[in-house]
Amino acid sequence: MSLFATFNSIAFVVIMMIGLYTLIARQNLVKKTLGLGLFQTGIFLMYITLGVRDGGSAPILQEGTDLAYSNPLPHVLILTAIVVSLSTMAVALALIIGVREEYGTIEADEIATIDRAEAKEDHEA
Amino acid sequence: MSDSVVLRTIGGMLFPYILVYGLYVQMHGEIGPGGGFQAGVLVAAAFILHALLFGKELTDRLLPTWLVDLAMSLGVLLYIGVGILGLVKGRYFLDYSVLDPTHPAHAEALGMTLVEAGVGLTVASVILTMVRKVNGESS
Amino acid sequence: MKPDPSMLPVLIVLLPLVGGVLAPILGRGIFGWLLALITTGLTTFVCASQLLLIQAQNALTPGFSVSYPLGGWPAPHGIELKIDLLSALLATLVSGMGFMVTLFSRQGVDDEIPSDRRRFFWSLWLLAITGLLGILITGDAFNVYVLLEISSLTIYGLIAMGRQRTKQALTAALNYLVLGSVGASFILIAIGLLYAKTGTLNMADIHAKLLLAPVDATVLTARAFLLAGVGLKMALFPLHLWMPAAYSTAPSAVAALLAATATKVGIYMGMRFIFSVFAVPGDEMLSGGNVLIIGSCCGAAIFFGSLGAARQPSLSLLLAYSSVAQIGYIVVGMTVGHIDAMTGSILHMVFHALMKGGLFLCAGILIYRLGTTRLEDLAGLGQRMPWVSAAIVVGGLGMIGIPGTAGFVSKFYLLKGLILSGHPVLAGMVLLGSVLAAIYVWRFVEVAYLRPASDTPLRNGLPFEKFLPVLILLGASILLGIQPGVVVDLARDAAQQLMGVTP
Repeated sequence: MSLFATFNSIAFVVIMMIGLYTLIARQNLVKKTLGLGLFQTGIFLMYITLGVRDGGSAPILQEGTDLAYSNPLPHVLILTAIVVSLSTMAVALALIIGVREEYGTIEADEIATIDRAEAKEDHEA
Repeated sequence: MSDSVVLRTIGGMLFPYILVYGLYVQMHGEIGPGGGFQAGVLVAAAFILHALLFGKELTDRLLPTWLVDLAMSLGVLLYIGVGILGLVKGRYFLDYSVLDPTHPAHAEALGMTLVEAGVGLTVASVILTMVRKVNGESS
Repeated sequence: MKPDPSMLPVLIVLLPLVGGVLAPILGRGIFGWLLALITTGLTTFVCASQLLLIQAQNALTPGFSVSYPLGGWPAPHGIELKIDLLSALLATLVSGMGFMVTLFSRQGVDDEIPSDRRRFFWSLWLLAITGLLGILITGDAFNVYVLLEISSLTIYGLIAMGRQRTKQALTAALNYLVLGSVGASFILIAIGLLYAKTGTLNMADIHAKLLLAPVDATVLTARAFLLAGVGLKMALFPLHLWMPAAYSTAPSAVAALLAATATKVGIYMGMRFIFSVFAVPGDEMLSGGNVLIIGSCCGAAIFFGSLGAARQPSLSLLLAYSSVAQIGYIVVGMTVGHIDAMTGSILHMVFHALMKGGLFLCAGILIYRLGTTRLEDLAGLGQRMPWVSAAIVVGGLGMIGIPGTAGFVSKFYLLKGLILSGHPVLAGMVLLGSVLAAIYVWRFVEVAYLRPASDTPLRNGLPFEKFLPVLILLGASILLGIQPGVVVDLARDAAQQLMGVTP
């Protein structure tokens, strides 16, 4: 395993953890979504690291050359996963816009307070 | 919408080139780096730039919403259509060789180009729709 | 040309996919509903024929499964669809439930979704079914992730469409999105680690390679991530927090579809990965500590789910919490690794889908006619809507597991398996769960039959096409409770095939 791979292995764990922390600790829904995105980016880096090969070049076949190249399959998988992550982000942002329209805030704790107050009102009515 | 003359002039000049570059990446995708995903994003970026510079209304006139909606479905249908062609000819789903039974390499190239075209169409329209939705057009 | 039977596997995902793509173009007015109805109907037909074919083959050669290489590239290099008895059984269930709920939901959707959104609703609806069916029939691990995200993303959108009725649908959908994405990402990590270990993504091939290699930290980590991710997706206690809000705020048709199918598919993923990918002789995944951990999660799910159901203010929430408990029953059966428990588990998946689907459809009728499912507003329902409340009671009896209902059959096999495999405590939990279920069902009975009728105004009549699916689903649950033979045989064969036990 090359130095590159070791460094990447540490880096992706760090990125994932920063993302997960943001996801859990922040009340702002947009920041939560960004945390989710960061978390998924960490996973992409993990996949890319899996495909690395010492001294490997980009996996493009050219005539006359017989170079070692890195494994293209993880790249393809991650292309798909990036699209999925992008769609998740889009759906999340669309939902957040809706939340902002209905509640007037995008702070999770304030939304919870509003919901609780309404449930109480509902109960008394 | 930008008021800067410099931005509007340069952006207006760039717009067709970005589109052409998008098409280049699209066409190139079957034999080299590129393909529908990247090309779709590039084409969408051109229209997003257009909207930023000249305003949403003008972009909507250039590229009506119904057309984007239609392109979204048509892209996927094109992809599935290539697959179904294989089924109809009694082969497996997405078997490219039915496109040109005499020359498998050509058939593969043709199949991939068609599939990538579908992907590009869908990606471009989906990204445009996403930006449009997030960009203030409420519910 | 005579249709080649080998075309069936790909049609299972292709039909709803094409329908889902066509819906935004053609789905204006009533056509969206018609398109969805026709598509789900055809898909059900295809799934059922596939199931019958596999069953017939299975009688000749046990352990038979259908494989379909996409694009003609043979596995393990290409992506293959792989359908065995369990996949086919659940695919039939999912598409059948999709058909029933679609049949149910014409006026409901007209009522709850603004008219310019309806064609997108039907598009998302069909794509969600595509994703769920795809997970059931794919043989490729990465495909599972992609299809999982297809179904999840569409389901988030479907839940959010409940904002017309209650704005909490938005927060429920967002919560589900965050937790669901984390769960799916965990599954992605697990698949990545498995790929790192074995260099392949085909599930059968991963299993073959894992058999040769010693179990090391990579495999154990992959397994841990996978269980956490699948646990989130199937809403196993304590990872169920997204579920009640999502089920109770979603449009009524979506709630019924979700309750009947989405968590079942999560459980299927768990079964598939545990028994078809990770199961290595000598290192049983489900032994010792693991059984203790998952078993206690299930026990807690049964206990707290049923107890939670008894405290909810509305019928939708009550049903959602009851689902938390029912997931516990299903997972406990697959945990102990005994053939009878597994049979019970598969049976309970099918029966619970029928019963809970029917119950959520009843809740949908209540929303359609009363605009609410709050228990206070349901007072005297027995006189005001005798048919619907009778149906809810019948479904509730099934939840308890009274003999004569389908719930009894599956719980009987569960109990038999749990006791024979030496887990009397878990068996006790299952029995306790039935007692607790009686409490929450009694709450409804008390409100509906022993209280003076409330004055909440009734809208609309009871449309026959809304009550017909309820009748079919709950009728089937009673019929299968009395004559369970066919389904029990199927479930037993599926369990044997899954666990690799020869009869």
